[in-house]
Amino acid sequence: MRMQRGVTLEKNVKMALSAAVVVVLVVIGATSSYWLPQPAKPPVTPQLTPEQRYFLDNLVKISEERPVRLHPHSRGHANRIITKEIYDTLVTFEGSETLQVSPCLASSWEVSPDYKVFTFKLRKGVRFYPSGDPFNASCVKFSLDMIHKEDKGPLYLCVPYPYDRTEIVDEYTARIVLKFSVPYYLQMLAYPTYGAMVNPKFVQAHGGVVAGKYNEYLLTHVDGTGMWTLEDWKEGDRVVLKRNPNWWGGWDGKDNYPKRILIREVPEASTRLMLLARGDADIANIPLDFLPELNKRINSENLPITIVEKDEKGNLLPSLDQVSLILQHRYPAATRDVHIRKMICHAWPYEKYIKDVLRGYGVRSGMFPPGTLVSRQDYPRYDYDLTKAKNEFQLAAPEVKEQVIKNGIRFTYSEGRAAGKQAALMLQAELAKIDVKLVIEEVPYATEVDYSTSVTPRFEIMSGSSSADMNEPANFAQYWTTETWPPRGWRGDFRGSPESDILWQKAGMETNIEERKKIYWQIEKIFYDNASSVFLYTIPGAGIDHNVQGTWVKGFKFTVLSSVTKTFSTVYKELPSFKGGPPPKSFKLTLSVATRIEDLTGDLLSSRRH
Amino acid sequence: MKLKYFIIRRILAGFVVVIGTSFLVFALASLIPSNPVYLWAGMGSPGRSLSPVEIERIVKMYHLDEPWYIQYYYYLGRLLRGDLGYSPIRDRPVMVDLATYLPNTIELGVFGLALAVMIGVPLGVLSATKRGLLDHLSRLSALLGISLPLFWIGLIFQIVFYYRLRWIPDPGGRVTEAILFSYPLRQITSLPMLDSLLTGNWPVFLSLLQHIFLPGLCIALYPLAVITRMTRSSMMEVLSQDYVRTARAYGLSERIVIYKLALKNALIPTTTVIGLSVGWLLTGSVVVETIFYWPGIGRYAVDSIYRYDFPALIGFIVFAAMIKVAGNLAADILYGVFDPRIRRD
Repeated sequence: MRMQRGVTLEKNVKMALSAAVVVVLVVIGATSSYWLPQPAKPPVTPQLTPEQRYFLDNLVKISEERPVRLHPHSRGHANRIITKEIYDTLVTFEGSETLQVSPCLASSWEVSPDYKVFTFKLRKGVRFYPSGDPFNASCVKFSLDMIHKEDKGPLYLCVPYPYDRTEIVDEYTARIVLKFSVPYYLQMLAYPTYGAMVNPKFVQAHGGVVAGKYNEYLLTHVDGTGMWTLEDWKEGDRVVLKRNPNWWGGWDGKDNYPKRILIREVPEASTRLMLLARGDADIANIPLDFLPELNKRINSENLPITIVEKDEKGNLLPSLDQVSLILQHRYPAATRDVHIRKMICHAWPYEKYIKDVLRGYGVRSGMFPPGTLVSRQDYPRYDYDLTKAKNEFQLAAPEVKEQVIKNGIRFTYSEGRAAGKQAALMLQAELAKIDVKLVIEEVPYATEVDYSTSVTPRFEIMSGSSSADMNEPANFAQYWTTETWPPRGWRGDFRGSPESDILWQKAGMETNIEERKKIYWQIEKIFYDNASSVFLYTIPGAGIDHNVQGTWVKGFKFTVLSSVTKTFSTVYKELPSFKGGPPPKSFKLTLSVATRIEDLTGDLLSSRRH
Repeated sequence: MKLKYFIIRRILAGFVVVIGTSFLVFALASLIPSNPVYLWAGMGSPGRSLSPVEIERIVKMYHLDEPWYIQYYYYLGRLLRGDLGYSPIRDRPVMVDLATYLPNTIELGVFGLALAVMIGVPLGVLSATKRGLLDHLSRLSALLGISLPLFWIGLIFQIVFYYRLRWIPDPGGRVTEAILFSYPLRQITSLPMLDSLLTGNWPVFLSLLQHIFLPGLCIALYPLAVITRMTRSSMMEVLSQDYVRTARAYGLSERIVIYKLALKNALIPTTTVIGLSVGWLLTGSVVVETIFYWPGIGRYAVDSIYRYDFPALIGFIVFAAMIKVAGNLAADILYGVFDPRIRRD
């Protein structure tokens, strides 16, 4: 019996131990995912909804401007937005670079020591789209000859025109010969409407080159080598660019790039803002005076919008767009007297205007805007000082003083222009403090242009603006040399002296950058001593056509040459994320209503889908 | 026969009106104290260099070195040959531009007019026959339709129906691109809605309908108000006629009295108003197309103003005069068709 009990006990213990082991194993197994290293799981690619796919594949830019021509050499900012994406140049600027050019259709080049001969080795295997014709040296010759024969392109980049001829050395080597030295000619070639390479066969098959006229076919049809090409253009409605399948850069590794770019014209700024806030547009330009209010809304409503006016540190981005007051230097204008001009320079409230009227969206600058090669912090300037203003008035010639006391000084502006009515009223108030009368005159814009080109002086002070094409100050030279002065009739403000003319020429041919800067600063001093104009401020940042974008837009690289360099070569979209919570109510991916249309029309449509 | 002479007389009179309009517009344009040649040559702001060759070409082309009446003489010669001028900004004939933009304005105008008629006539009839609250409301809405500024109404519509309620996918434009990319539209007549119907492209048709609704409603508000009021007053006048009283005395149902007897006669002045509305639709299109970025000739005109494209602007005004004259003529002819008394006279 005892033996039986012992055997039973042993058996029970064994069973209990076995059960315990099983339980422990089960527990270990069940909890192993918490303490055992897990094998790497294959990544799960999230399935995109049709709305999300469409959102990523299509980049929408909205603007108030309307393109009217697609000719690669056509002037006009709205036209250039599109043509610079379709046509390539021999060289280009990359990223934020504004001085050194990078290869584009040319893979390398040599420049003669006197900067008169530029020899380019061309990239092989490049083809135009949609024609498929190859790009080679004959295209370079044809393109540059064409722009000079048409004489309608932006030849004001350098006046007088330096181009002499292009020689075809071999199929992939072109040599450009200039009439005189131009150290910055490579920059000119990077300028899209000057250096755009066209297909000779395409042009000759459709009307050829006619002196003094654009080729009409090219106004509405394209054949380029750029990353993008034209898919559709409904004038007044939208331009649709699609990927160029022949693009020489290749699309490998660029799957996240959009497949299409839609450029839509939306005249009303408030409508553009609505589209952006809704996510129905990705990039827009909004007037500067909307920006402070938009900034508040971005913070209060958590709008997924970025204002591209400031860098990461909150500093305003530079640009080449400058606003000034043009001062008439000719008789019978009161401003012909240098002391009257200096009076105005001292009476203008520079910082107050930027703070109160521009609400901070402006940067005080001198003759050379902050984006240019030679801009500096310690440029010569007139500061706001009414005591000095009054003293200058006392120094003016007696007959001029009498003229000002009797008639006042006239300030002419046109509505909608920078430094318009508000500037006039501000200056009027300041001059009134020193008992000088300012008479304000509003005219239509065409009249303002007329005044500025009249041989007979028709204004005394006028609002003005200028936008450099390159950051090389020699680009300004054609505005500020004595040959553009009366009697030809041009603006009327100080256009330089024989001394400054020589300096402009010298600077344009100086190959050493530091020496070039010194010459430009000498010119700056001459203009400062003459109180040539009142330089008010520079419009900040991307300014013209791309100053607001959705936070989901990535890859945009700001440069002062944004209006000239390709915008869409690096831009792509990601699905939006919203900091600190759910998306704002206003934001919703598009297509929801469009999808409902598909539901309504049902299977009938599936056979029509492409 | 008399109708034929009537039409011929009106056409000749219309021709005189169009020529007179062109003269007036040309004369007014010449009074503008500025020479646009620099703008046309490509000067966007004071300071750009201009090619002397370009300036000379423009001066020769538009005879800008001649007095304005000589310039008009050349312009009239081209106008009589069907040439509405050449745009220096767009580098192409104004006729080509109008042909590009006109189909969109036609569709908007037809849609707006159809809305105005389909709502205005029944509303006017109801207002005349069922006096009381409905009458007051319809008169109030007619007053608002005439008084409220179009640009304000347009912006409010965008904020409410697009931004807040999201009932429409887009605050403007012609069509949702996503639909167009998936269902490309084949062009037959240049009228997108008609083309989509002819080709059976229902997604695009519905998308076009979605986009035309708000601007169409905006542009319809004024003619809707006018049509409502005119229908109401003429209906009330007709209903007070002896023959209507007689018909009621004979025991005819109110429905037959209103819709078979009275309405036909009441619609005669309404038809005239509808014809006159064609001119308004063109005027209204200038504002509505800008607000809703509709690619029509109204926006073309606004764009031409901003660019100082005088040839394009003059061409548009002359074209608008032709439309207005044609609309008036159509109204007069229809008036004669509907009212035999007019034909006899």
